[in-house]
Amino acid sequence: MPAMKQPTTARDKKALAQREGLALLEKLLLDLATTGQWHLTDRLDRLERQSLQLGDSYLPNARTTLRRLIQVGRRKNLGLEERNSQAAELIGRLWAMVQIGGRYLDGTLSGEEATEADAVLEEALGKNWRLDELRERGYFRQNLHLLELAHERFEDEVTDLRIEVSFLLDLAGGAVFRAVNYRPRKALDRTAELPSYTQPLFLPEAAVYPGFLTRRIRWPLGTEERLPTNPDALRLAHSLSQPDFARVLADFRKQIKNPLAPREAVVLLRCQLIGTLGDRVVLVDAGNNRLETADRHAGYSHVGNLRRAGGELREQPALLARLFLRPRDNALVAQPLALLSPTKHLRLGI
Amino acid sequence: MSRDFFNTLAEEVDALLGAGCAAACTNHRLPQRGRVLREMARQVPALGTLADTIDRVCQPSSRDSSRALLDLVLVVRQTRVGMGTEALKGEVVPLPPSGPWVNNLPANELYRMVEAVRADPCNADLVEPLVPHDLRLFPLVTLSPDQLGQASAQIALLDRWGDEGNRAALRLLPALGRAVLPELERDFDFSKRPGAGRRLAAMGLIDPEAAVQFCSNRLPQQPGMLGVLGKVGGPAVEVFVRVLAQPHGNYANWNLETIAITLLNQVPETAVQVLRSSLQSPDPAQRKEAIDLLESLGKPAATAVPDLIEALNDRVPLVRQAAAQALGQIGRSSSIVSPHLIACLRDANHEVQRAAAAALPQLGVPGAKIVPLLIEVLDHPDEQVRLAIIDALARSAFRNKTAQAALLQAKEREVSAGVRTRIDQALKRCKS
Repeated sequence: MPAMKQPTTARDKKALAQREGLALLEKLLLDLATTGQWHLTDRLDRLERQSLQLGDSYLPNARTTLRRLIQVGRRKNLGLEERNSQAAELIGRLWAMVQIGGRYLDGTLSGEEATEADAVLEEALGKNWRLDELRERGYFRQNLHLLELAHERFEDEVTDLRIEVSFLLDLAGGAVFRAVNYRPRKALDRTAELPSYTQPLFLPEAAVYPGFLTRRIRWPLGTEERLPTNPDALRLAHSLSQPDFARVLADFRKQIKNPLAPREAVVLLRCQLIGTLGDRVVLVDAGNNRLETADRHAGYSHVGNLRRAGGELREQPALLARLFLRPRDNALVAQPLALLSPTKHLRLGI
Repeated sequence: MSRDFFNTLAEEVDALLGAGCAAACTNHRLPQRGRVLREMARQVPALGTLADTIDRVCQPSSRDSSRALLDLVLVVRQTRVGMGTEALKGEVVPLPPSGPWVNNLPANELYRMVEAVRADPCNADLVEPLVPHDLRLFPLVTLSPDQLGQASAQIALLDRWGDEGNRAALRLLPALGRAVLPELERDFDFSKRPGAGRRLAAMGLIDPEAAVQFCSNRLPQQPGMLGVLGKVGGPAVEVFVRVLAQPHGNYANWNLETIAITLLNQVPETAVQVLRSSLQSPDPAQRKEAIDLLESLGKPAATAVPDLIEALNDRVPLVRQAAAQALGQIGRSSSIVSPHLIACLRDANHEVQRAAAAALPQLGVPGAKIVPLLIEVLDHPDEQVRLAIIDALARSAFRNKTAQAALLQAKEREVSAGVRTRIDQALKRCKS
């Protein structure tokens, strides 16, 4: 048997470490599926130790997902079904990382997987894109006019990060982009906050990451230009909203069929009517397609805000909404983020 | 049907993953599901993959059944995604008109405020002005039962935190609305201060009627709770006023003084108003207590002087006595008090006479119009009263020759050695 070639370049060394990491992850998952009972305390302790071993494997997402699984196991206030469902989602994701990540490293991706490779690389192998890499691969775009429709932040206990997201509408093409800022919670005072823009924004150039419906956007620091507030921008934004829910939902379904794709997408929907159906707040498009609204987390009700704001903007408003799959009944639902008319913009979240 | 089928299948697979591969191999339902899927695959070929994966899991001899189980978790989820959602049937009712709303504050600014309030609910001042306007603050302040609501409730109901706790109780708890009333009423114990007072104050702001009812029902068992209520001041006054308007038979033990003094410190006008209204109470004990309190309040109670003068004619001597004493304390700046007190020297009750007399010197230097009235009563039969009148006259005697002469004459006819000595002292002071 010929001796294995020793990696010489940094890239090869990293790929080797990732392969070893994926092998370890595969073994761990097979073991977990064989024995079950992953939620028992000693099993969770073992998983925690094993997650540490992934630390040198350049697989940050795999490690984070494993830690999320441990967190689910340790949570006391979770019902059995809910826990099983959340755990299966995470385990399925890890299993997809093993398979797709392995094929990527082996160069054996084919078909749709190959075309979406760049999009899921960040998730599968924890790829941190550099701006120059994105430029090389042709992900840079010039002269973008954007309008921020929503801005949100949340804290991730597992990664100990504060994540700030600005949802920006491309006033030329109508796509919704997300600018993301990751800030270690321990260094909040030493890291810059992602601004929230109330005026339209001009970017001479920006990298639009590979991805699915709501792609990440990033631009060289300080190159953005805040334009004067212009009523035309809002009118334009409203006109760019998607009038056909069915088409948007079909695109979203396609996205979440990829196990490594984000489980949510933010879209701008043109509503013919926003109203109530029993207790539910429902969006209706011109073709009478309906979409239920729902809150993503307990504690703060975006839907409650939509109920109020929808009473003011009644004439075919556009709604910026986060689509997601509600685990309880596997229903596609929309979390309202902002409501627009040609003359008014109301942010619904905080 | 298919949506339910896949939802159930997904639940079963999730449970099998928790139970382990061996349980999956021996599960009797899984092969049945596989057979149904095989049937369905005749119309939807894509379901064949799922049926195949189930077969792999169910084969006991298969060495890679754990791998197959992991595959099954993935395939079920991917298949389920395409199943669609429940149709939303029925008439959609448009939302009722509302607004206008504004929220053009940049998100970052709003976050900063909200974070400041979350870190310390006493910073509610930052957010409070925005609450009626900014749509985004509504769920946070009025609807969210956790986060801000819990934080403020905890701080407000703790028996410490001083002013911060009061502010949290008075600003944030009321913002949470009626939903927090049960929480405020639960395990209420007036002896746990100041938490109990804050609860009552918040109740009073949210629903004064409910708060009064709450107080009224518990006063016989916990009469001290009104004292606690008084500690909170401002908003609690409204509750207090309403309670005072009720019959007071059961409240004999309340600590009215504590309440009023505390109220005075925080809202003097309202406190005096409350006590003035108490002077109209049919209960003489309460009228007397109210007068005593006004006396202890001193200068800020000056607006109650007309009521106290009226009380000098009360049918109950104790009330008249208290009114006379109180006027000595708070009627100093009022020129209309002295004639009424002098008139009281002819009251049928000796104690009232003495109290009125004792009050006279406290009113300061009597004016030129008052001196003749005092001289008129210098021959009062009560020695104590005469001493007090002498004291009052002595204050003006150093510059009022009529007063000096009256004192000299009084000394000549005075039978009591003690009174004569007092007149001597007064005249001596005039000469020096």
